[in-house]
Amino acid sequence: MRGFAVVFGREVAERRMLALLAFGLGLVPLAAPWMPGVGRENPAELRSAMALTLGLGLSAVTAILLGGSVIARDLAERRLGFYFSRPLAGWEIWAGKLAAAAALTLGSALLVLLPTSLLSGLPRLDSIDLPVMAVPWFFLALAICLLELILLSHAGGVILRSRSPWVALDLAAAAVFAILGWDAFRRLLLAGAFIPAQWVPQALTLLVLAGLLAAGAVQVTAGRTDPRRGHRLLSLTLWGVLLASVLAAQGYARWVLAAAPEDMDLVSQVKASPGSWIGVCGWDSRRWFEPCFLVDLPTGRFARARSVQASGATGLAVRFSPDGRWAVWLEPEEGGGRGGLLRLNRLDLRRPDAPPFQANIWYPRLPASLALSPDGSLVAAIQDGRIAVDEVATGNRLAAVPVPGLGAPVRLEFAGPGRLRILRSDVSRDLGNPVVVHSIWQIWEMDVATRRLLRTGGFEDRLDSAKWSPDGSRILVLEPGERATALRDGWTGRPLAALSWEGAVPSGADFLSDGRIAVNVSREGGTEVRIFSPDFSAELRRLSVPGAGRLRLAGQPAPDLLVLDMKLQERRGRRSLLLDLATGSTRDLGGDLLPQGGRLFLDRGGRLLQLDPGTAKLRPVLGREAAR
Amino acid sequence: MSSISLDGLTVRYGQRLALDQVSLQVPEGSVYALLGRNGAGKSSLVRCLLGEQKPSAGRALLLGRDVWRERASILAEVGVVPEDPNAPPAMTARQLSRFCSRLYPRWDAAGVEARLKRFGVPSGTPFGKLSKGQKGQVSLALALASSPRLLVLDDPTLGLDAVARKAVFEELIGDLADRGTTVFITTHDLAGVERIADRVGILNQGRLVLDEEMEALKARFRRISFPRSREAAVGRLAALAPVAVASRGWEVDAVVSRYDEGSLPVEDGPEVTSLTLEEIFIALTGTPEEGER
Repeated sequence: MRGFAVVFGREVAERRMLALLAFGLGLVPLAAPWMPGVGRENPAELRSAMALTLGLGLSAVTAILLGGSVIARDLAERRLGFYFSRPLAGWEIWAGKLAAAAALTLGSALLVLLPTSLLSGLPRLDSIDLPVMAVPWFFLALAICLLELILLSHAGGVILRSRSPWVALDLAAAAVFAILGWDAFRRLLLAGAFIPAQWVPQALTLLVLAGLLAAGAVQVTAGRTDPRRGHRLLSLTLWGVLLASVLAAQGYARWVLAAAPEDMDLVSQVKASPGSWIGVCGWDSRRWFEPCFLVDLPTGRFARARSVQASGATGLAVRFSPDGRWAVWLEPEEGGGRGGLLRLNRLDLRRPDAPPFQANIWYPRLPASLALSPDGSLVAAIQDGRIAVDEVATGNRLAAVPVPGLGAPVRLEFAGPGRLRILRSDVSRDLGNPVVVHSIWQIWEMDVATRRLLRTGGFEDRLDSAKWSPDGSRILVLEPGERATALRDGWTGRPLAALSWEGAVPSGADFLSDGRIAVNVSREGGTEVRIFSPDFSAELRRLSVPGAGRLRLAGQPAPDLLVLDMKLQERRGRRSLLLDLATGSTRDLGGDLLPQGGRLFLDRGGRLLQLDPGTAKLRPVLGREAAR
Repeated sequence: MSSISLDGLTVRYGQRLALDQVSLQVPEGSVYALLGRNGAGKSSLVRCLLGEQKPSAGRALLLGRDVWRERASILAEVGVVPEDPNAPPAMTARQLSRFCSRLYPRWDAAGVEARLKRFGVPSGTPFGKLSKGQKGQVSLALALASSPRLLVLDDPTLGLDAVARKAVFEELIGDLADRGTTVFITTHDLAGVERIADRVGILNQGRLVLDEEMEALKARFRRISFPRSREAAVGRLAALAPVAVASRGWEVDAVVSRYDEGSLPVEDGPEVTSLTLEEIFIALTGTPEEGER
């Protein structure tokens, strides 16, 4: 240890002029407000920024120069023998010299900051928009970077000055390290594993630091005064550590990306298909990652689907064909070669051995609306003001026409083979009551073969409540102000039938799978669900629902069963009920469940539960308990 | 006890063999001179001896300990003068003395000053600005200041003029007389080392071709000249292990390595002369020493 202190002291003393230079440089920011061409509004901030810039600049230059010369130059000029012919351990020589380089680097930065700090307090980091809590971490990261720069310069100095043919291997190993490290990072990022992706460069940075420390120590302690042997040992140690690290990073990325549905602890998103498949995303707390899957619940078969970022949120952009056979979803382009494009994937859900098919269809960002034709052969999307229709199998673009009208949200759906319906709602405000928002729907039809657009009709929807029947032929619109519900033609928007509610307020309506219409209404003394004929002409049943609360029709798990989601009035919370349309009986499914359409529910613990319509029992299928 | 013990020391640089199975012992308190032509392997041997280079095979013990493993602790008792004096150029001799004083258990700073004065080397001049000879003298002063049990001198008189060379050897003789330090010296100054060495080793192309007490060496080597007409003498010469034989006109001139007074009768008319260390070295290694020309 005494040897370390002696070497350290000598190195620092030899470069003591650096301190004078740093202090002199530190005086420059004091004159910053009076420099020509510099704004004088905020002198303290100006001085801080200049002192930080000069401090960082000087320390970076010092790190490179000292790191590259403090040992490597002595070695190349055969002066290292002076230390090795003394009773100094190799590690004392190495550590003493590099610690001096580090102290001089950091010390020179601090000396540059000193005059400004004495005058205007510690430098402010406003200009780099750093939260107060992050300031110590910022300086720690900076210190680590400078240390890494010193060690990198040292390694580079030894490698270059040795003039050995091993340099070619060094370059090859550096390239392999960079490629594998970047690949692990990129794959995690593409998969939406942002936290693991963040950890990979952080861990690699620290492992590079450890590798450089170990390599430098081995080079000096075992290579001693022989430049070529030192270089060889340095390279073997450095690349041994770094290649092992980057292989570990690859293994880690592989492990993270191997997450399976049963690894999910908390299910966060569910999209149910008309069949047994679901699209699901969930948090895997072991991997710190929210993977997404398409899962066939009965068989457990699954396909991995990468999530898409849009509007600051991530999620699964999936569409199922109405017959439940096909699923299409968008994923960030693998390889990043197409500048962040989203690529369309398709899976045949009925073929057990079918692999996901990557279609030759890309979108520059998440389309405003995406629709899949009933047979799964065509996909339509709205992007950049145009409607694009593509053939999934070939990637051929069949049509690309401008969206009719201006602005406003647009929805697309296939209304039969080769027929596309475009629903556009223009929002207008009631001049008398600006709070009331009217949606004025326009219905357009496009024939994909001829690419002709035709406006077929429209209607007004005061509460943005329009609900289309599964075949698109009818629309239900609530008009609570007039206590009426209207059934309209799906193509023209013309009213087919209307019902006025005496003494009751309709709060939701939906089409049942057999075409009948269910409307839930609130009235004095309770809530009830009324079942109407498909043409809305006859009320078929009136079923009372026990309990008080706002009711929502939340899916049809079986032809004669309806899930009701009741938001309780007396206390916060909700209950899910199962209404038997044949008998009128209701069964309580439990509290604080989020119905996900049909038979699926999310509970507060993040588990996905599946309803058995026969027993009305809920069974966890995904999430923490299901995994156990 | 041996201060230095080399056992089968071998050094390879790729395919090239720099040292081939060198084994030798240097008894405590003795002066061992290792001689060899340029490229004979002396520097490799010294680097191994100082623990700066790991031998490809064999091992080097200094003061009874493996120098590769325990270099730092061993060197606390060893003074070193390297072939190429190599201190940091910005440091003066006084600063170097102060630096070294913190590393050795004993340090005679006044002795360093006194020696430098004797050598005529300014102690306040940066090392980088001294002449090569002065650098060597600073190195010697530093090497002696820690009162080492063993001194390793790698060609300490290289680049010195005759006066400076004399001063170095006198300093060594003085130190040896005072303390009985073991000295391992490699040098091209054979005349100088002949005065102080107890034992001599000669390296030739990486192999130790001779390792012997100085007196015994000088006793068994002789130059013998006799007329070529004495055919019987020519026949008897083989028994004296000639290492170099030259014909000069009517005479045969031979250097023999196993001289025995009775082996050449007077009637052969031999003229027998003793050899200097340099002459023996030249006879053994083939051609005159480049460093001495």
